[in-house]
Amino acid sequence: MQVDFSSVLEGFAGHSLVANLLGMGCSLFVCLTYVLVILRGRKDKTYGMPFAAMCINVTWEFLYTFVYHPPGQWTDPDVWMHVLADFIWFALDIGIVVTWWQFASADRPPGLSPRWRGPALALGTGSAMAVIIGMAGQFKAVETQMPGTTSCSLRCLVMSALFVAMVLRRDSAAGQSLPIAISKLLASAMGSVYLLLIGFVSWFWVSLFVLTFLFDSIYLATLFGLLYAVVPRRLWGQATAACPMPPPAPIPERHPLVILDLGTASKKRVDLLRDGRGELMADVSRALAGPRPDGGAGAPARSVVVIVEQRRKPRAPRPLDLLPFKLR
Amino acid sequence: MGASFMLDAFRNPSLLGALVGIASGLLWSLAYVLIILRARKDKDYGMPFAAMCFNVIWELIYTFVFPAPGEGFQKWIALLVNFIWFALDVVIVITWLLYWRADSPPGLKPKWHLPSLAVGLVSALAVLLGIQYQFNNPSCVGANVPNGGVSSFLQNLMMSALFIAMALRRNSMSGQSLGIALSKLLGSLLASTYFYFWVLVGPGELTFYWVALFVLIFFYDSIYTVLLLRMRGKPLMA
Repeated sequence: MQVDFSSVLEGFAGHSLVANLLGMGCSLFVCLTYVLVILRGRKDKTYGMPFAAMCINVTWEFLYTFVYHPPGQWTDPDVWMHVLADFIWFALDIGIVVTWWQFASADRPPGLSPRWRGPALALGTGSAMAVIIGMAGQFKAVETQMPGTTSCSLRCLVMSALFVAMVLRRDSAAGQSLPIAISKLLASAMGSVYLLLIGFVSWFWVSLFVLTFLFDSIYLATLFGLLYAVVPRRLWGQATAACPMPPPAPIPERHPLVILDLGTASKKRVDLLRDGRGELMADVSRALAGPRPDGGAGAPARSVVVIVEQRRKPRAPRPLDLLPFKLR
Repeated sequence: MGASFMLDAFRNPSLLGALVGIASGLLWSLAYVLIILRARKDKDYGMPFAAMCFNVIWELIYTFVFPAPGEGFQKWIALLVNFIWFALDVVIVITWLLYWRADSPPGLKPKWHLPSLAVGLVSALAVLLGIQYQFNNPSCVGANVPNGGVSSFLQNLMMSALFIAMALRRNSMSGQSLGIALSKLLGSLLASTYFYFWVLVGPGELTFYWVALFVLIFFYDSIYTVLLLRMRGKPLMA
């Protein structure tokens, strides 16, 4: 399709430049999020998009690429750019579904046998389709500027809440990463401001936008805590043993306890542990290969407890410590 | 769930409609009572966290903020009945506060469980009020649809899905029972029936939205019931 550049510019004149830039930024960050989710999923051998969110996303993008379009002519950039963005999202979402299909058993509910993977996907996408089509017909009076905004905003909130639930349930960063969390937050935030600017300003929209931002921030903070704050720097030392989470027996209190996700730990940290500690790594490998101590099904837990002996010597008192008050 | 539908049933000229509405409400309260009793017995809560937040807020909003309209005796009965349902929901929240440790996501530290309840309740309040203001009016649904009608069926579908997810994740009947599943299934089915025959009666009011929700809720509730049937006899989680 050949597009006349001046007509593109004219088309954009309808909305303010800021709104259009935000809309494009949102689309790009959504693409980035999806690409990162796929790459991270392949690397960690698990999926990174919660199942329900994946079903709703792929269905929504299918419907708004092939069935519903914004009002206007195809030459109007407001129309074709939206449809193009939806199509790219849809294509990437197919990639996410493929990742899920490959690695579904890495994180499946214990009560769901693997042979129900296909029916579960069919049920999820089928019900998402019914609800989204239903919403498109029922609520079209309040989304005249942009068809599908109701279901899209609701799905964003559901998705953000599901990401928080996923990280809390997995208690590890497997399949997830900070870049995913950040680009997802930016995508939702830009999309929200874009929708505000084009006229979605009632209590309903604003509360959805604020809540989505809140849940995205909670997700980012939780993931950050998991990746960077769990291992206090001062505890890096001689690791003497390891076992999977949860530990099968109480760990003596004299051992500082480090919960480390080997799947997502930085190379530096893993090297620190590996350095001259072959026995430990054998322990870790055994821990990761064996069944979970709680008897749960699914992939072995990726978090392991590493018992570290502190090597710090007691500090000799310095002159300032002898003062009757604390300087620090 | 179902409070204002039942009250609307009183105003409806059709006796059968009123009976269906009342039966739906009674079955839902039976489900609540069974959830509470089961939670005490199994020392595990039986309503998924998100479903609980939305439920208690839904009852709060449609008891105190948008009470069913009416006159005199009818209004007082309505308020009393609504209040009882709200009270049952509060007890369900209390069972969660008592037994949340039995099934808490491993990544959630104990000190965060109260803040998470607050976040859940406030989010539910914002979303439900938003849906009420935005969609529960004649521009989107028929004039017969009572306050809370739009959100209730969406919420009910979400609840049904969450119950399935809970059973699959726990892989046991801990905190759950066939009685709960059946009374929930029948309560929702009767609520859908009531809406189908006595609320969405105007021309063009019975849209795909409603039919999809009615069918999906019934389908999900049936899946949940079958799941529990197959899980009978499995040991509860320690």
